[in-house]
Amino acid sequence: MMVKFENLKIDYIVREGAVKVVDGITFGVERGRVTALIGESGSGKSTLAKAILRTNSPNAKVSKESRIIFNGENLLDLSAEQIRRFRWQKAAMVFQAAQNALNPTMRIKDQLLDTMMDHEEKFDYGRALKKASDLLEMVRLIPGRALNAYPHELSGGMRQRVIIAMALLLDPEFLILDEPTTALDVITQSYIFDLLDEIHKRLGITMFFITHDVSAVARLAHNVAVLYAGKIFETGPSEALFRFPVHPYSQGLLSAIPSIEGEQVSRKAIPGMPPDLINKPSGCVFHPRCYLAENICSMKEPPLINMGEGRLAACFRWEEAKKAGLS
Amino acid sequence: MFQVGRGEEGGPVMTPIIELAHVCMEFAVPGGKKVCAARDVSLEINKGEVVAVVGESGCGKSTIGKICLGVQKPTAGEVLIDGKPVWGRGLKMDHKTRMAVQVVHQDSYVSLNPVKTLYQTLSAPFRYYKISKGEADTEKKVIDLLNSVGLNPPEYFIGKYPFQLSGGQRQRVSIARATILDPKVIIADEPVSGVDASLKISILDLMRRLNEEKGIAFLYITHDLATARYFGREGRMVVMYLGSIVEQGGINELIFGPAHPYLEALLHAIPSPDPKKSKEKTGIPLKNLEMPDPAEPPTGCLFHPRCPYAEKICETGRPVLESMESDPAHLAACHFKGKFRR
Amino acid sequence: MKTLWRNIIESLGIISRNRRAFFGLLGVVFFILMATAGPLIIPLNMTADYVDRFQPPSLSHILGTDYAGRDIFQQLVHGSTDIMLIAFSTALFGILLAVIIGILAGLSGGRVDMLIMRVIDVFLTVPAFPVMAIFAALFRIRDPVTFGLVLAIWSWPGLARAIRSQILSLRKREFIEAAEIMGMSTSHIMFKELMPNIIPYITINFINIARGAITASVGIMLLGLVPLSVTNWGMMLNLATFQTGAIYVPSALSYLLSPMIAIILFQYSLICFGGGIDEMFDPRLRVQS
Repeated sequence: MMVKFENLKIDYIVREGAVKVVDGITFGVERGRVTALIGESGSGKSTLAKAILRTNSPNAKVSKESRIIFNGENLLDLSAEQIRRFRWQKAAMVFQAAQNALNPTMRIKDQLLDTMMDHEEKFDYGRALKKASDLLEMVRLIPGRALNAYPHELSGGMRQRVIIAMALLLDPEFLILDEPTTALDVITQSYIFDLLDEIHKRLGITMFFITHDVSAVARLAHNVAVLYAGKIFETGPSEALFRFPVHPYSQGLLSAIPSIEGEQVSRKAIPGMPPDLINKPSGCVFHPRCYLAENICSMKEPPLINMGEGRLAACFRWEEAKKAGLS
Repeated sequence: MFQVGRGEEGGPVMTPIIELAHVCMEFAVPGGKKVCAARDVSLEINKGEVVAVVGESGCGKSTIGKICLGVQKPTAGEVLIDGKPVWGRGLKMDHKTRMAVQVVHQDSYVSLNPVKTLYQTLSAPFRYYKISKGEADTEKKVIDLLNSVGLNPPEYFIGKYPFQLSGGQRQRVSIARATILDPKVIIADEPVSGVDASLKISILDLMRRLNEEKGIAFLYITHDLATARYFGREGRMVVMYLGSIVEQGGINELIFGPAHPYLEALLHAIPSPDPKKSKEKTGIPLKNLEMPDPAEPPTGCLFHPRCPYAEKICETGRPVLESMESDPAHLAACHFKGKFRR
Repeated sequence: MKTLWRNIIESLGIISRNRRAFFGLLGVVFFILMATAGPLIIPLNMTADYVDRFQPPSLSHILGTDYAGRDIFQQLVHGSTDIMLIAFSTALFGILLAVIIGILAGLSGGRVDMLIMRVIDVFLTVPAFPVMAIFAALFRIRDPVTFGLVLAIWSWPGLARAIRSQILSLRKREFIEAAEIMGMSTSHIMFKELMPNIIPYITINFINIARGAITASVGIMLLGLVPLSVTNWGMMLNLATFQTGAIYVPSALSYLLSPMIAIILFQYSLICFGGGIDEMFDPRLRVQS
């Protein structure tokens, strides 16, 4: 395991109480693989991602029992200086609408070199420039042109590729991609996924996608975790999970996505509303919206149950759900 | 491909609700250049019809919406609502015609007044046009309205402010507001792109219901072909690129038999939720990934610098939007119309 | 009427949760009471009694006496009416000018807008205080409301410009477009849709202009350019510093400090209260109370 979350709990403290954004997550990201965390708005996916680099806002309170183990080390114990080194060098992040994160007054070259200068003890200009050019080439930009460009001279897709190159500058082992293509057009999006696929194959870097867009990650992800209201509902190998989702929520989510393939089948939205994160429903947080809910679901919280073949689901009625999903 | 029924040829001639005839829209951009957000666009929306306008950002689809709404005046061409010119000289459009076209915006947060409760927002048109008689009647009408868009129980929602609602609920309020004045057509500009996946369908279903039950026509502007197909069903689709319509026809005909290389590329780029199918979808059939500078559009076919099938003629001659031989309702602006040299 | 009361009670509820703003409000209320009810309760005795001049605070004169042996506290209370009138009338006239001109510029656009903006630029570049001082002297102002009007002439331009830009940005919002598409009139859009969004802004600036007016009026009176009544705080300062030598008499410290401290306290109350205005109008906070 590259990263292991152990009972991760993060609350946002607001006047009305504690918003339980991440509510007891235990789950691992396999080394050298692509893992995707899927969740809708309010599921806590971005908070979880930020917790790895400890970039959460000050009112986010991480519970004392929580641990995030990275290469055997608990990230939550690191000092401020240690975590600063950890960012970029060990783990880098490409975040939402990152294409707007470039400094508009600086050439791409200077931004890339500054990043390296900040983190490397022995900075060598020539070597750094070579590295920057190589990475820009890897994201299929023409280094000669991109290096001397200002951000506004590049398209949104190009800027996002620069950001990806930048994330790879210090050879991190772990790359977090938080909605990396959300603001981009579908053609650019597809191109960037091609690129990320290629990068993964070439560098073998561990990738951790955080997204609401199920279809976008289906191509790359080896493993998938489905997040709802701060809890992991289902995990497993992506092909199996996408084809036969077991948890009623994953089933609902996947069947709510319209497609351009095959015959037009009618789709169904999941009834009801996402829960209030301050006063969560008792038992399984999904039970008020669930088509299989029965008494026990509102009384006890289901643990992640091993269903075999590397698949886990947090549902008491997973066997019924599986049957219903297959039929 | 399966057959879908569309308006019969030679049927009774009806006045379209909205008709755009050779509409052009130019914007001046810094540097003294001009950008064409609409080039010679002709489009009609008939009674009870769903027309999906698809394309990437900057293709001019939102401009078409604004022109249909009458909030933007085209630099050339004519806009008719119910057969009456919107921008006729000295002719002011009467309220009734104007009100026939309503809007649902993309961002439900900025499309609702942040300091007003749902009741204040939704009751205003009733009072303004004296549709309701007295406060009690207004309240009843607002409650009915909230019911009709699935905001249950209405009493719970009536005093809420926009920020207290989820994106999906706010979008329902926007839709409710758009229906108050009994419009003939609603221009919906990316109405579900800010809504969570599991709730998108329910918003589309709601619009579908309004289309079927009340006969409201929709101009559905989107970048998402899958929702266009889901919502549009047997409707028409218009594909735009750099301000021009490049392809037009029945939604399923277009999705399963694209005649323009641009639509082909667009369809190829759409990810599939099925990992197996998705893995096959690598490499986009495009020569160049980047959209050309809209201030300096290419000569000839607007798409030729990116088109993998482009030939000599594409660099010089701009293709016109014409019917396919096989299907007169299917139009494409391409010299080859599906018969490329691959 | 009922909703108005409910609104006021709600607003008080929100303000009371912000301790700083609440104390600010208490301060403001105190000074308003002092200016309105104060003179009715506390009589002013202005007969000179030079035996008792420059007395330090005592039981009979809680803030001591001035150069003519008159009670300072009485003067402070009666003087507050002027200060309040000046502050209030400046803010009122200033806001009216700013709102009308700002909205006119924001809605009309084009040449009218450009012309207004140039005029505003002129007002903003001319150093306000000296010009106001000259104006004040030139017009021989004798009453606080006229004084407020003169001060208002120099207090609207910044706000007008801000309101204009608020209008410009609000007009682009889609809820305004939706109202236009529904065929609603410009006045409906202006007053029913736009106004509620800029009211908090206007209220905060009402307080800011009032504060500016207090500083400016006291300054001008300190210089002796507008000799209103002797009890006015600015006049008290003027008399204490320049005319009666109180500044050199140790036992007259209270004569010098009382108006100063009163001004500081009033200003500070306004600042604290102003800090809570935003919250008071924010629907997010309203609904939770």
